[in-house]
Amino acid sequence: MLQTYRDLFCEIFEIEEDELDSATPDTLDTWDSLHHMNLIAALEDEFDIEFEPEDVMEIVSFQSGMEVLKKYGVNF
Amino acid sequence: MSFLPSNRDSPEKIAALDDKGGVITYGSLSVLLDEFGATVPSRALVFCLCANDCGSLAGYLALYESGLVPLLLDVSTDDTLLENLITTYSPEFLWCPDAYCEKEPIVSAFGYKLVRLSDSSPHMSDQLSFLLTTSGSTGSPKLVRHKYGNLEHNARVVATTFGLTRSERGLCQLPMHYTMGLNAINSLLYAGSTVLLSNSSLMSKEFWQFFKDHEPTSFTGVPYSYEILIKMKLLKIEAAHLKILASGGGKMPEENFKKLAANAVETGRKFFSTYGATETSARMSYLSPEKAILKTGSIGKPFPGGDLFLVGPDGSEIEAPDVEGELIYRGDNVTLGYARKKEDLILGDTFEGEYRTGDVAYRDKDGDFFVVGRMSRFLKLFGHRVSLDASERLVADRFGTDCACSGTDKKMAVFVTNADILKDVTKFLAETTGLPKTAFKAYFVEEFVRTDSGKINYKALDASVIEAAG
Repeated sequence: MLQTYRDLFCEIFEIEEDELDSATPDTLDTWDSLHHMNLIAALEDEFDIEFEPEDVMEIVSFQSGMEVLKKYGVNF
Repeated sequence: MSFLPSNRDSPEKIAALDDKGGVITYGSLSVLLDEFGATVPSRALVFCLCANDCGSLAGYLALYESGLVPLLLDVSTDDTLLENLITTYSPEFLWCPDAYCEKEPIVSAFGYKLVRLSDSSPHMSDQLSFLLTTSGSTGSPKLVRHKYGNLEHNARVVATTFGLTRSERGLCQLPMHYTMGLNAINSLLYAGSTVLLSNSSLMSKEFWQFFKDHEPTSFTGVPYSYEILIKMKLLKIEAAHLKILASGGGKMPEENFKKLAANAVETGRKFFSTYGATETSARMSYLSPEKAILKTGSIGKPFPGGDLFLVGPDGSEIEAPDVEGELIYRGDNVTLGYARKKEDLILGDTFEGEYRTGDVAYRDKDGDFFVVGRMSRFLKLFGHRVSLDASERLVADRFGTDCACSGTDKKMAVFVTNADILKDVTKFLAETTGLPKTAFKAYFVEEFVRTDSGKINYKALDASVIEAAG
């Protein structure tokens, strides 16, 4: 699961694995609303879930995305 | 001419506030206008770096009203692109955040300053009032030349048609350097309303906190804004204060149009589907809100003072309903024309009050218009106009391959004759346009099917995509 999540993140934001831990909207040029929406759609597809708006707002880093996914029963 | 309400009897009234805590009253704005008028030379070319905040708004208004010719640009414009624009047009001044450069300020306000870039301005036509880049064309130095009265006209008709009043609090999240974002702001100022400037993503806590704190009465967005807002459950939350939802800047997916129209009926809101272009200083037409539930996707009729009509392939006007033709607009908001270099700033009115939209449309028996496609080869990916021909040239130059682009407003299909570069091509186009990689899909073809005249047969290519998708 972790690897799927990592790959997806790298793919959407066009970054390498070693950039993941520091990935936030402020550090990544590619993290705009288009890419954020894409990430949300991709995560919902991949893990077969549907986020609440509050959770969409929470996903502002690689780490926080993982925390939110855990709430939806995704085990890393 | 001015956007600002002529009755300056309530100087305490808030003209704008932003999500960083900035506030401007109508009174302080008028003081600032006087200060700028006395300090800066009129008829100079100025580049304004913009975010949706009080400093950007104050600078644009004060410089415009002082007779300078502003070009509004995104503050996060890539350095190379900005350098390129400065070389191409030689502006005399730059309006930028204080921290943007070390140069000495000539005037400053709300964390922004005016600095000098060169000794003089290019020669400019007396009619020239204002400049914007053509929407979405990234990297292109092509500008739209506005004349005095364009912005004012559109602000007035939109304010009047939407019924904006001084008690309106309009949430402006579209960038102010984008024609419709600017028109939303100008219309509110014209009506003496309060502009709520947000610089935050529609998916951020900051945006929704700002939304809660200031309870906007209206919102203007592009179709993609509504895609996000629907995902964020805007139509499900309690927000009785929100009375007007306006959209424009591309065709909204039918499903979302229907959701917005149904929501308007349920809540008593007004949903305005509008149609516009940078070349017409924003909006040309709107669908009467009470028709939204009946006419999914319609752009309605022209705003007062404008005229929309259809022309067939032989150049004659189409009067009959349900017949497709090119959509053409006439009105006081039609701009002067384009500029590609500083010498073009002296040009007069090349559009002569008429703008050929390049969109194919028909009108129904009630006279409401529906856009069905485009004459020229553009896609509108995530609301950004992306030229298929330019994309073809970019890929061909970068990879030394033959390339053909087609597709839909959801996804561009990029065909190349080299199977090894498919991933690189999508990555390259995503980087060049600033759009997500998912907006592009690359396909390998051994060779292109061509028409008798030697042009690429796009129909055959599209058919091969459908086949590949199974």
